[in-house]
Amino acid sequence: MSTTSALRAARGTWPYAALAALFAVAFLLELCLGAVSLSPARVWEGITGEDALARQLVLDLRLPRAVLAVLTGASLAAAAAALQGATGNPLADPHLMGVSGGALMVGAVMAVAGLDPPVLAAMPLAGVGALAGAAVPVVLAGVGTVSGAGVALIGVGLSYLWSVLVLAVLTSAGFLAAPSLAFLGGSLAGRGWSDAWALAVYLGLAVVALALLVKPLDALALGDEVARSLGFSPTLARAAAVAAAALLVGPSTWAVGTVPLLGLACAQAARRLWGHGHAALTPAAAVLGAILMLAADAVARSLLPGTELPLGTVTALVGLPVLVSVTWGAAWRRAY
Amino acid sequence: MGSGLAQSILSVRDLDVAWGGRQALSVDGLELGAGELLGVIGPNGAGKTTLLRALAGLIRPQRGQITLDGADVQRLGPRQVARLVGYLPQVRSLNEDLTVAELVARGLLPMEAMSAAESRRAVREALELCGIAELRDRRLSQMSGGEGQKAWIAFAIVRRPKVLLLDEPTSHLDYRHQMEVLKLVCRLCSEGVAAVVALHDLWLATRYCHRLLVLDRGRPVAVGPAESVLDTELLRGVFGVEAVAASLPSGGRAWLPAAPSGPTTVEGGDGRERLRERGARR
Repeated sequence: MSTTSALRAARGTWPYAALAALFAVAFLLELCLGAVSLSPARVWEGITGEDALARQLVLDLRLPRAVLAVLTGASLAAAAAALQGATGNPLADPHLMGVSGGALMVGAVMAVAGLDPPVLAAMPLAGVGALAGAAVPVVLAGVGTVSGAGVALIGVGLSYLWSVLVLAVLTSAGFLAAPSLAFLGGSLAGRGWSDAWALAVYLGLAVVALALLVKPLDALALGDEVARSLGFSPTLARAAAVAAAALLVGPSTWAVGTVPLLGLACAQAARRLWGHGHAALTPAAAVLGAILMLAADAVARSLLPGTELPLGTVTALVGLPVLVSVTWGAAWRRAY
Repeated sequence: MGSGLAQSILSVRDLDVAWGGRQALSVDGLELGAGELLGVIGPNGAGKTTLLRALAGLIRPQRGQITLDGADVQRLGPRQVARLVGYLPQVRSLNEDLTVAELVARGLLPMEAMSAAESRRAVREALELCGIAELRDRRLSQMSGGEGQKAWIAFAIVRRPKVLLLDEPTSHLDYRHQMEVLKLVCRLCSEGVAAVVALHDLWLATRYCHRLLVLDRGRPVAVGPAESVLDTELLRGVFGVEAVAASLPSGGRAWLPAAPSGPTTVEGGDGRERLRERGARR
């Protein structure tokens, strides 16, 4: 008995330590790598101001990007955890379900219409698009006449529909320039501190909502009837979780575009390591999301000299094996 | 319909419940004392589940009053009711592959802030009470139906509710696990819990329940100890079966369908002979 409790205690600590170490490494990589790669020592000289070029690269360009990567990665992964809880579907993911697609559509329409509202106002508008994107799959999941895999499949179809519609809107206005295209696969290019601050505001609001949702989502996982018998309203919990997810996905999509499979990969990895309780799951998923986004951006910027690859090239490569492993183990999802 | 026990934990007065657009249940009065095990029997669609759901505060009655531990259920908030009542529906779904300890800990969700140490202790005690302490780290997906049922009962009692409501807790279980589950419920009752258990098996109901409530088409037709409630006429009228009482060596009686000995051979529609159980629907 003492051995198992010691093991469990160790298991409780090492993932947190590993997470902190991974985060530090990914953050440092994001500051070091790029068209001009800097050694960690030069990054430090840039921060202290001893090296003028390094200072410009690190403080003006890479640091805001790194912060933005942390915020968007955390938002998308936390949103995936909330969507998985709300729909009871392990395949739920902002991109896969078309939630990001709805947000991206708002951005495309505004760009084509020549609207350029302040970022603090534009982000919640993208949130409305995200909510519209979430509506169909979440309602289908709630009705219960479509299986979980079916809902995920319909989500994939919707996601495809959104991206084609966004392309149609952009094409019709002659907007098919490289920046718009990069946004379809996710890109942090050309984003700065103003985006990061605005995103921090909405992430902060969403954190409050997610904290309040810990108990309702834990109850919802036991099925609607049992959740009700524990004193929680499944409808309210679902609606609040989807609203919180839209509040996370809208602003981060505005900042970074659509990033495939990042949310799914991080939320599922967090489930494996920290279990299904939302008090540990959601923050762990968020930190994993930040790490993956930092790593994806560092790789995307430095892999091909002179070119920035879409973030999705990295996140999809990481996310796909996770998606396979989730569906591979799906036999446990028999009813109890 | 007094329980004969001093302390009434659950009482029902003039209850009318509609479900799915029709009058589903009508109970004039029912009292349940601390430590009492009440079996609810009746054919499919008799209103057993509706009664349990109404007692759990999940359906708002059109009329009447349910009192739990002295408080009117309709005046309590959902979490307050949840603290007083442990309810297990017959059909459950689990979206996540939880361990037994994780499932049982979720039974504490209606409680106000509890320290981690307090909740760990509550979970450990519930597991010990249900005799599954050694299964705490097993995943529910890896457990048999009988073990899983005990884990769900531990989940229902971990917050120490005054009333336990179980909807057909023995269905799909083998005989040994059916008896183990009911023995567990008896043990919980001996600790002061009042339990209402919907059952299909008349022998189990006779063997373990202090009293039986017989429901037929949404109305109680009899309530009392099994020996005074069950007779040939009631079984014919309510369940539609011709039954005979067999005397048990222990002194009690068991009700069995009155069928000739051995299975009856029935000609199948495709010309092949099939064996079919003789007797009426359960």
